[in-house]
Amino acid sequence: MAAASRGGGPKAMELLRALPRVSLVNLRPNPGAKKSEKRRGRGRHGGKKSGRGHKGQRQRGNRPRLGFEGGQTPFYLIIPKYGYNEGHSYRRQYHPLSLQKLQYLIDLGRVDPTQPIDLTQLTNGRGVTIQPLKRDYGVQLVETGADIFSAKVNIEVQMASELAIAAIEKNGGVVTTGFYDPRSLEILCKPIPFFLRGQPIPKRMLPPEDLVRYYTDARNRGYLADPSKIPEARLELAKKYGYVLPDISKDELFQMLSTRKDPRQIFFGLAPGWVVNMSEKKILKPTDERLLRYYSS
Amino acid sequence: MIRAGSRLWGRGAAARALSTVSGQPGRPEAPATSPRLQDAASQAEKPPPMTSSAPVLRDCRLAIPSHRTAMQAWVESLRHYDDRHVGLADLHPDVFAVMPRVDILHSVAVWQRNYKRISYAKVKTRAEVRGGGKKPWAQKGSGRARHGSIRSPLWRGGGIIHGPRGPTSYYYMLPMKVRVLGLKVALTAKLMQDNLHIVDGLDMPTCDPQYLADLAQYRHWGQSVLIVDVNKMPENIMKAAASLKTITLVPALGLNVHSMLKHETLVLTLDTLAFLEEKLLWHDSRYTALYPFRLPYSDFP
Amino acid sequence: MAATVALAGLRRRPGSVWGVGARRLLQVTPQQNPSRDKTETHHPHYPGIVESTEEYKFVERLIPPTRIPAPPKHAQYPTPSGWRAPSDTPPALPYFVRRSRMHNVPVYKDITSGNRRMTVIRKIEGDIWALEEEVKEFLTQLAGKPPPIQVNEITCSIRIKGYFDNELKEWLLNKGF
Repeated sequence: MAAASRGGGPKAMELLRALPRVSLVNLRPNPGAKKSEKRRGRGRHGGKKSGRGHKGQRQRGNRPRLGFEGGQTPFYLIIPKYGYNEGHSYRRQYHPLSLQKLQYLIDLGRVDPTQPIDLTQLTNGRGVTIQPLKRDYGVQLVETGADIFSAKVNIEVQMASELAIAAIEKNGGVVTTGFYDPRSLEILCKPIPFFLRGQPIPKRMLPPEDLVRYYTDARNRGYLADPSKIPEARLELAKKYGYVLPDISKDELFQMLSTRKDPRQIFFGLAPGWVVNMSEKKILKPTDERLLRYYSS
Repeated sequence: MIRAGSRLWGRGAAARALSTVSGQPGRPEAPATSPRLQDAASQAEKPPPMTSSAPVLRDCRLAIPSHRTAMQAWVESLRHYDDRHVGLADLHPDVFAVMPRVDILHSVAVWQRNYKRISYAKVKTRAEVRGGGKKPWAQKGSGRARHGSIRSPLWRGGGIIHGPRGPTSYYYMLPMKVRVLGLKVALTAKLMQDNLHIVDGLDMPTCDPQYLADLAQYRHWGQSVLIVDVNKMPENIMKAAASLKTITLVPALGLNVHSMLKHETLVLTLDTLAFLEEKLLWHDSRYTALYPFRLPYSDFP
Repeated sequence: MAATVALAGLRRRPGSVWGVGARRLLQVTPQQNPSRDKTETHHPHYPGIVESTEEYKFVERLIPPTRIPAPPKHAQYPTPSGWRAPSDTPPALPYFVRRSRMHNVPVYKDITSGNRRMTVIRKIEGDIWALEEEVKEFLTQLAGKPPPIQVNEITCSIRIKGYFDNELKEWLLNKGF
């Protein structure tokens, strides 16, 4: 301790020993940290004109509106309108999740690769932040770091690029792309506040018309695609990028890797229509015929 | 001012000389007030008598980073006047030996004063002062200055311009990490300035207030004492402290920077140490909240 | 909320013998106890339920943690993502740079006034001036001339003019921090 008396905490603590007792009466901010504001209109220090100059619209602050050019047709009215940003408040946004970041989260133990990964696991590891109210519709898997990616995962994302799919399947992993409507997405990202509300888990809505083509395509590993076509697509991608596709059916994690959600299901293992009682650690399932029919997919 | 400074300087020098004499740097503590220096010096030269046959030894339950060492403090007892060295307690350096940021202490203390303040100062404008609707005299011809209302701010009894308006809230919130750092710095300052005392429990042989007052005086605990416990306080100490103005009991959840700085001496029990270390160190390795911390999390301490 | 209240009310009197709905409930859950309170009436529109605790493990998986987990031990460093653990024994230097709470080296880029580019080293413990000298020496070799450096002893941080974050991170990692 005595050696480290040059700078840092030990030196400060030695000083503290010699100084009077720290109490409410001798506290003060760091020197130079606070600057008292200038009181305008008070004598010598910014009195008279108060820094606003001499007369006119500048002094009185009643300038005309922004873009007004003194009466001639202003620039913003001369140029015709064009809808570059039309519908920007309705466009779906997908946060990028790079393979580099996914690998980082797995390396640091923030996401567990021995369990199926979906948005809940990613948000719980604080890997992504999803705001459904800001038109977020989930994450897209992007290919940055495809060369270093070496984890075997079963991941469900909302969109994935072709190379990202290839990088995951090369390591023996599984990708699924699935659509979540904003309400399901909110529930998926923050399940606990939803469970505390005591409502039954809703069923996931089907994708809008323009996304049906994406999610029914086996090349995108869409969740609505024909399951029999997905092995073909995997093989095709392996041929395209020139790697040997590992046989996941012989894997010891085959059970985990083959876990998929139903198109109407939000959480792994929990069906729509169930109510979660967190205080008693129970799940309440409906038995009514009509309810079962409604929640079935 | 100069005199006070020289006195403090002299005290600091004396304290340093004392620690070199006793050969144990900084421990046992030198007392805070100068008249008792002689007394303490004579005590410190003797090796501290161990009153109990089985000393209390306390280790940090939470891991200490490999580049730091634990701080140490004597464990005392309230059972007898002379139970000053019952054992030794290891204190976590990330709570009891952080960088002494006095500016953080200042901002937290100011925040504690202000965030719950509501200023009720309010004055009336010319519109709110009663009367003054009628023009007092004609605009022209009277030879007097022109006026439109007897409640104009220029008039005696008129309205006030730019006065305080209505209940004003001074509420603001410091970031949680700053508030936590404030607690750590306050504990560090108390330990470094020998104003922190660890006791094994708050059990006392009697509920006599005089016993507690004498004990505080005998141990040089100074003008005011803040006693903190996480468990339920024993009956004896509650009764004793109830009639003492200078000794305050606080549950561990209510420990705060203002009270620590207001009182001269801080007394913590061993259970409180464990509680404080767990609560304060949790903030060093926590994520930001996904939703409020009062809702369930898998490992909330 | 209404659903919880309704279901909770339902759960409290499982075998009340009033109405059609009750009979259906009894058929569904025959293992449940006979009713304790028969005074309450059963609403015929409430559907039946089955309670289950087996699937609760799927709920427990969804509960987020508050603590950042300690990184697992890897066979070799750097890991595929480029992360490296600090050395087990602290390096024999007069200063120490502690990892951030996310287990990274606390070197950051900062920009103020739109174009004032700086690099910040935070969480320095011990002799901060020794680190400053070494940083200056390292950056002089790197850039050819010593960059302006500010040392803040109070906040335990060093500010360097210019972006040198990647170089300094690598440099500190190689020292074992």
